[in-house]
Formats: sequence, C-alpha cells, structure tokens
Amino acid sequence: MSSKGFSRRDFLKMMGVGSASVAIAGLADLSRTLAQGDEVVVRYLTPSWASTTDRRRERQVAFRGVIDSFNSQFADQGIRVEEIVGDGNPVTITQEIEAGNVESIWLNHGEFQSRYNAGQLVDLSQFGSEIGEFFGFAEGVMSNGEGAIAAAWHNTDTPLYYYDTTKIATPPTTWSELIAICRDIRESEGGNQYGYVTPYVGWFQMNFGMYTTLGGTLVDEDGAPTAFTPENLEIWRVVFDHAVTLIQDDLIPASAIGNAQAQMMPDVFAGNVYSFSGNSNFHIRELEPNLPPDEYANWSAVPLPYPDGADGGLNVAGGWGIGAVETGDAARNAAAAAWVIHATNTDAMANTCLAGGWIPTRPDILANDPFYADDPFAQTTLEALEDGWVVPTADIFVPMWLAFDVAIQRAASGDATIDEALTEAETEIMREFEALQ
Amino acid sequence: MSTNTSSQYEPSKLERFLAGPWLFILPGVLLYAAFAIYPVVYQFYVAMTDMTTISLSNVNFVGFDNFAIIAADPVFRQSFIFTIAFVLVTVPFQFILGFGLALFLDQELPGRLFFRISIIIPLAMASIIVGLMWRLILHDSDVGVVNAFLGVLGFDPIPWFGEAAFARISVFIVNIWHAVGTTMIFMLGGLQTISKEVLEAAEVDGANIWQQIIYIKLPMLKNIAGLAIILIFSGTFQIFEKVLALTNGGPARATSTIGFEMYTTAFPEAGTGSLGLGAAMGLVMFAFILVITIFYVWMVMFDEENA
Amino acid sequence: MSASSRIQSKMSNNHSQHFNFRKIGGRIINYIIGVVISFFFIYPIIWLFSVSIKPNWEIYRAPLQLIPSDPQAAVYIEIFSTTPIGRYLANSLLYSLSGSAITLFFSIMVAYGLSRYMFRGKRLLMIGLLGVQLMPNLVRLIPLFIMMTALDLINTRYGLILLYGAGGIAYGTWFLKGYFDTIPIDLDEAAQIDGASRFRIIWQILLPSIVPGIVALLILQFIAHWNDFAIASILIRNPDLLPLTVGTFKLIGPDESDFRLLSAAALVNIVPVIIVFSILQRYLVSGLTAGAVK
Repeated sequence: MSSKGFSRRDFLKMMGVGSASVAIAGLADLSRTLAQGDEVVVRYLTPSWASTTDRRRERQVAFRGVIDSFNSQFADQGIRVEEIVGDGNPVTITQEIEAGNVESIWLNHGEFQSRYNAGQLVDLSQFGSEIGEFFGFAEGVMSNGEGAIAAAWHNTDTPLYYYDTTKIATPPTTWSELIAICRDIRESEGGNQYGYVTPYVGWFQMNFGMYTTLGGTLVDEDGAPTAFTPENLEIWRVVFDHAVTLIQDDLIPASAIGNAQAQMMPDVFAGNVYSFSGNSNFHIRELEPNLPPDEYANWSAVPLPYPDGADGGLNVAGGWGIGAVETGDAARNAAAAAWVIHATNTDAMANTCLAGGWIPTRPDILANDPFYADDPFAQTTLEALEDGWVVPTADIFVPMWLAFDVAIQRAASGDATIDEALTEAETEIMREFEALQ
Repeated sequence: MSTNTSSQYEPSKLERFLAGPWLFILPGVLLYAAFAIYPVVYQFYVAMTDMTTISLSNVNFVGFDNFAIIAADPVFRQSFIFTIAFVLVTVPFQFILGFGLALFLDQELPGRLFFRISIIIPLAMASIIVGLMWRLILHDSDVGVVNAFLGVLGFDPIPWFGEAAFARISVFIVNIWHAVGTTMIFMLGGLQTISKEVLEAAEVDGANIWQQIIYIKLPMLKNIAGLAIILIFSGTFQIFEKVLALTNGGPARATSTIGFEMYTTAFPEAGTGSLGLGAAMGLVMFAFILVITIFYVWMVMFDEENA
Repeated sequence: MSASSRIQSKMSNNHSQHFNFRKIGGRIINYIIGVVISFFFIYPIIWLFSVSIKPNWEIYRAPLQLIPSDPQAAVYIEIFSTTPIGRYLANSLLYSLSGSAITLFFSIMVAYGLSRYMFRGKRLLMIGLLGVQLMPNLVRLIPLFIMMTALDLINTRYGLILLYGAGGIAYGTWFLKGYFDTIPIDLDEAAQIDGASRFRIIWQILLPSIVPGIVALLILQFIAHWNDFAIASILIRNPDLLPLTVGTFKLIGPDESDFRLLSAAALVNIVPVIIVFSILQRYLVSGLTAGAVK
C-alpha cells in the first residue's frame, strides 16, 4: 500500500478537475461555430447603439424594420441578413473581418478608404450604388476618386451654434460678433453667468473647418503634414488667438479647457451659459431632457460663427456608414452589397436616422421628409451641411487631432504661448509622421 | 522487483512522484505561470516589435526603437514625471493620514465600528467608478457639489479639470479618498497587537501621547509600516482607471500617467493601437514594480525569519 | 508591575473629578472628529443617491439640496428596462464568482503542498510566488490581449474567467499557506495512520479549520474581480458579455453628462460590494493583515 494513501481514483479526480479549465476553453470554439446551409447569410456587425439591442425603443424598432424588410424582399433569392452586435471599435471590426466572421460592417467614415485600400471592402459601384444622391462632401469620402465606392455613408452630424433666444436676440455670424456678445454678458451680469461655451477637448474637430475656410491646409496629396508652412502658421495664429482670448479674457468658463462637448453642458442646464457649440443632435439628446420644462422652447440654433474675413464657415461633417466585406466569395460579396444598398436607401435611412436623432446623408430626405422639413434644427443643419466639409483620411490625422487639442489647451490655459504651443504640436506631429513611415 | 522481504515494496518513479507534493503544486503553479508570468516575459518580445492592433501576425522586429521613441516623446516624459510626482506626494500623505486614522480608531469609542467601516468602504469600490463619481462631485461649474459649497462660502468655482494644477490636485484627492483605508487597516492591526501594559507604563512615566506614538508605537510597528508603504507604493504607481474616468489625462495631458499612456497607446478610442510602444511603456512600469517587489520580498522573508 | 500600574491608573481615573471632565470632553471631541471623518467618506455616496432620484433639472439648479423636491425612482426603472445593466450585473456576478472559485481551488492545493511537504526548491518557489504578487495587471495587459487573441479566447466568458482564476493563485497560495501552517501536522499524521487519503485529510480535517481564511480569500478575490476594469475592457468587446464596470463606463463614459444615469449606474456597481464588505469586514480585516501582523 502506498505510504501517502493516494489512490487511483484520487488521481482520476485530480486529472478531471485539472483539465476542466482546458475543456472550458475548448467550449469557446464550439460556441463560435456557425451552422450554414445553402442560403447566403449576411452577418452584419454593428455597434449596439445602432442596432436592435439599443436601449432606446425607437432605435430597436427602426433597425428591426430595415432588417425585416431586407429579409422578406430577398427571401426568394436565399439571402438573409443577421445582425451581430459589437462595439464599433476598429479593433473589433478588424478581428472579426480577419476571422471571416462577418460579411458586412458598420464603420466610421474615417475608415472607408483605409479599409478599402487594405482590401477589406467590396467596391459597391459594381452593384449599382448611386453616389450622386448623397451630400457633396460624402461623395469624396465614399469614392476613391477612380470610380470605386468603398462604403455607403449612412448618417452624419455637424456642430451648430445653439443659443437661448431670451438672452441673445440676434445670434452672431462672425467671431468678433460672438466675442462682443460674450463681453456684454460678462459686463452686465458677471458672476457665474457667461454668454457662450465651447469644448477644448475635441476642439480641433470642431474648428479646423474654420481654419480651412481661411485657406489653411492640413496634409498634401501624399498624406504628409502641411499644417506648419509659414502661411498656415499665420492662419493657426488667428484661430488660436480667438480660442485663447475666450479663456484669457474670462469670456467663457475656464473649465471649458478640460471638457469635451457633453461635459460642458451642465453649465448650460444650470442656466449659467446662454449659448454653446454642440453637435447637431444636442437639442434632442441634451437640451430637452435636462432643461426645466418651460425653458426648452427658448432655444434655437444657427450654423457656427466663422472667422472675420472668411466668406462663411466650413462645417465639419463626421458620421458612420455601412460597408460590404471582401470575402473572396462572389455570392457572399453580392449579397452583402445588396444589404448595404438596402440599408442606406432613402426609406431605410430616413427611418433609422429619425430614430437615432442623426442627420441623413441624402439631402432629399432633409428637404422632403415631413419630419425633417418641419424641424427648424434639421433645416439649420441642412443649411450648415451645404458648406459641409470632411476630415482628410490620412493616417496622420488622428495624431494631428490629438496634438492640436493639447496645443490649444496649453495655449488657452497660459501654460504656453501660442507660438510655443504650435511649435510643440509641430514637433509631435512630425515625430508621429516619421513613426508612421 | 522485490528483494528479500515481500513486505518491503519499492515504489516506481511515477508512484513516488504522485506521492510527493508536486501533484498539488504543479496544476496551480503552471496555470499561474501560463497566464500571469509568461505574459510578463512575452512583453519583452512585444516591446521590440512594431505590432499593432490591426496586425498581430505580420510584425517586424525593431530592436530597441520603441524605447528610443518613448524616451523622446514629450507626452510620455510628462506622464512619467507626473507618475513619479504623484507617488511621491500621495504615498506620504496616504501613510500619515492612514496612520492618524488608525490611531484615532485605536481608542475606546462608542460607534468605533461604524467609523471604521465608513473609512474602508471606498476600498470596496472600483477605481473606474470612483473616478466617475468624483467627476460629478468635483464638476467644474457650480453644479458640482464641492464648487456649489464653495460658492455658498463666497468663493469662485474652482476649474477642477480645466487647469493643470487643479486637475492634478483632484487626482491626488481622489486617490487618497479611495485608498487611505489600506494604511488604516494595516496600522490599526499593528496597533492592536501592542499590549496596553506597555503604553500604560509609559503613561505612568509621564510620556505624553505624541511621545508614545513616536517612541513606542512607531518603532514597534516598523515592519508593518514598511509593508503598508510598499503596498500603497505599488498601488499608486499603477494608477490608471481613476485618471481615465476623472480627467481622461487632460487638460493637455497634464494628468496622464504611465499606466494611462500605455493603455491609450495600445488601445485607443480611435485609430490603430501600437502594441509595441505600449509594451515598451509597460516595461518601464515593470522596472519600477520590480524594485518595489525586491523590497517587498526582502521584508516579508526577513520578517518570516524573525518570527 | 504591569498589573499594579493598571490598577493605579484606574484608581486615578476614578478619584479625580477633574480628570473625568477632561475625559468626557475628550470623548465628545473624539465623537465629533469621528462623525466628520465618516461624513467625508460616506457623504459622496449619499449624495450620489440624492442625484439619482432628483428631477433632471434640479440636479443642475440646486446642487446642494440633498432631499429632492420631487423624489422619483424613474431612473432605476429606466436603466434596468432600457439598458443592459441587469445583464452586466449578472455577468459580473458570474465572472467574479467563477474566478474566485478557480483561484480558491488551485490555491488550496498549492498552499497544502507548500505547507505540508519539504522538497528541493520550495523556498525558491515561495519567494517566486511572493515576488509576482505585486505585479499589476496593467503590466501584462498587452501580452494577454495578444495571447488570448491567438488562443481564440478573446471575447469569451471562459477567457475572462480563466484569467481571473489564474491571476489570483499566487496571492491565494500565500494567503492560505499562513492558515494551513497554524494547524499542527500531527493531525494529518494521525488521520494518515487511520488510512485517510490526502484529499480526505484536506477536505475533512484541514479545510474546516481554515474557514475564516477561505471566506476572507473568497471575498477579497470576488471584490477584486468585480472591480476589474483593465483586463475586461480589452478582452471583452461583445456588449452582451461586458461586466458591470466596463458596461457602466461604456454607458456613460467620458463623453456623457447625464448625471442622473451616471449616479444610478454607479450605485448599482457599488451597493452590492459595499453590503458584502460591511457585513463581512471582520473576516477581511483579519485576513488582510494576517500575514503582516505577527
């Protein structure tokens, strides 16, 4: 008999438990296996906030409607779409594409061309996508310039100038008018009352259209930064000076330096701030639920004020679209393309954008759909988007965006002069650019 | 193959192995090695490649380039300096406050249990939630409860997250609020092992409270105080979630820490994450934790031998 | 000497009225200090609750008012019916419980082996297990992401549970070894002579004696997993599988200003652990310092 009393049964028990974790790991594989029959299933990866699982009922209904109408329309061709809910993160999307798990994806407009160039997306023009029906700025992003359409832009947004009509009778159209209004309110009311607020986190995204309208450029055709030529630096100084003056002269709350768009809103809800720059769905998303009930009706919106000396503003448009994944299989590609075209057609887009509080990328919806045609905020947005303008899709753009945000925060807080902050941004961006090469 | 006596049984190698401790030790140790130690080693390899979140498989070996890049990166340098400053400021604060609370709770006091629980309740909360919660409490405008209170006293609202200095102070405050209970628990545990007789004898000899603390309590708690300091040291060094939720590294990256910088470099909200650069930053953190670990192991083992 | 001095001090307390006054005054001051300290630590949580039941506009117009003019539970109904927070709660419970159970199982085995056997390399192994305890998850985050992607365990429940379970073994082993060491080995030997197997000895003799240690380890691990953000946020991207911390952060993140939603969701996160923690804090405090206080 063995001295330590270890029986064979003990050993088996031991092995059983020990290997349990390995078995558990193995089960993960099983759960991923998808049974596939003869029909073509378009597995469509979409973030939860643009899916039938969103917390808002109207989005659930709208996205369910689009999926159901596609499935009934294509049932006789053996094509079916199946929603896979993800988080919209580019890493997830890449992983799922590489694993061959998806045929169609919801993606940011900034990824249209880079994913198309990486061979991940199908050219939609082969399947009858009509690019001419979209906003002008959208065309440049959807198309690669050689006729190929990388993805269909589904919804967009752009910042607007929101103001309390009881406090500001005539909204400003230029920056100097804006500053005059701010000074008036500081002088007449003082204390915690301010005429305006704008975020300095995400500042670049909201303001580089204004830089562009003054003639500034960001990158050349090869994607190399051009933002620091002597002429462009002169323009940056103008744009920076405006943003720095707002803070340094105490014309807006100092907390704006550390705040992103939504984070500055409590000041507005508290009744301390009478106007702000915010996304084109902020009246629905922010103002209506948080203002005292009788005050919401006082608010209105116009396109953003622009720099003095410019003909008008260029309003930065961003947003999301749907693409068909290059699977290497003609039938699956065609089915996915059919789904993309269906999900971004006039009817589908009008419904899902209405549910999401977004702006459709087809101007005819804004002009003709009864909801948008009667909504003053939507008409303001339409007006702003006629001067819509889109982020260049160069790789350097994200680092550039971050570097300029840091620069404006440092300049506005007085930690650095405008020139110092710009020099720091240049060093940082050129370093990132070299790292990208 | 038995020799002379049939009762003497020669166990085989396998049986001897099974009878030993390894059967108990190996499964746990191997599991730990695979998922907790191997990754740290693997980090050295990742730090020398240009791996990104978009391409995990197609990578190039770049040697020490990543280290050169982060060393030259002013944003990383700033996070590095802030992390060190953060540790140097909060650790003494946390220790002194925690020790003070422990001394306070080490007396006969009705309701002592309630006071003790309220001090350690923050320890049970997730860092990310603590950050979100204090983002509300310290909100910049007079909507935040702290600023509203200052307003009642006649002060202007403090731009907690709008000015670098205040943003840094807010991270200090929140971290101390969250973690001061650790020191308190350790020091209180230590204080309660000091026999009352010793203190009473000192009292009879005319030692006042401060003299008792400095000449009797602290020397007797040397070891446990050392352990507590090491633990809060390693805890503060890895601060990340509180910064993410509270300031998101801002304004102008003034409150970015090594951990925050590593996470946002490797897993950014937008664009491609650079795992190679992130791993290099992770190794910088590793180097510091390693030094702390050596102290820790030395103290615990030393303590063992004395016991 | 010690006994007499105690009597002496007691007597001097009883006999001097003046001293008693000072003592009562001191008590009151102590009491006030205690209340102020508790207020500082607890008020933020009470205030959070107040915000969650205020009408939206009142949050911004009357921030100091603790009792809402019109208290409403609407936000709790709203987050449980329109956000997946209930699912997050269930996920967190599953991950934390399974992770702690796995840690406990392997830690008991390793701690038993280390406590009951002498063998070559034991001291080295113990130092090794001690040394790796301080290594934060942040340091292995990136390699874990790559490893788990390669193992196809990314975005799975099993992957996260496995990491939680494995990650606590070094700490758990040290923690439990201290408890095993307090049980005299004679007990094992006596049972062995009676023919009990080693598993039986662990199960029937050793474990019942170290229940406080097991409870303390379970709670500590449970809270650690419940509060994890870093690992879960890189490993889990499928919204259905998110634990509470990551789910809450995604829900209200840095780009949201909905104070009411934020405070309600934060309370859903912290109330369960605070309850567990307050009820079982005796185990925890003794468990935490068991190794350090001799």
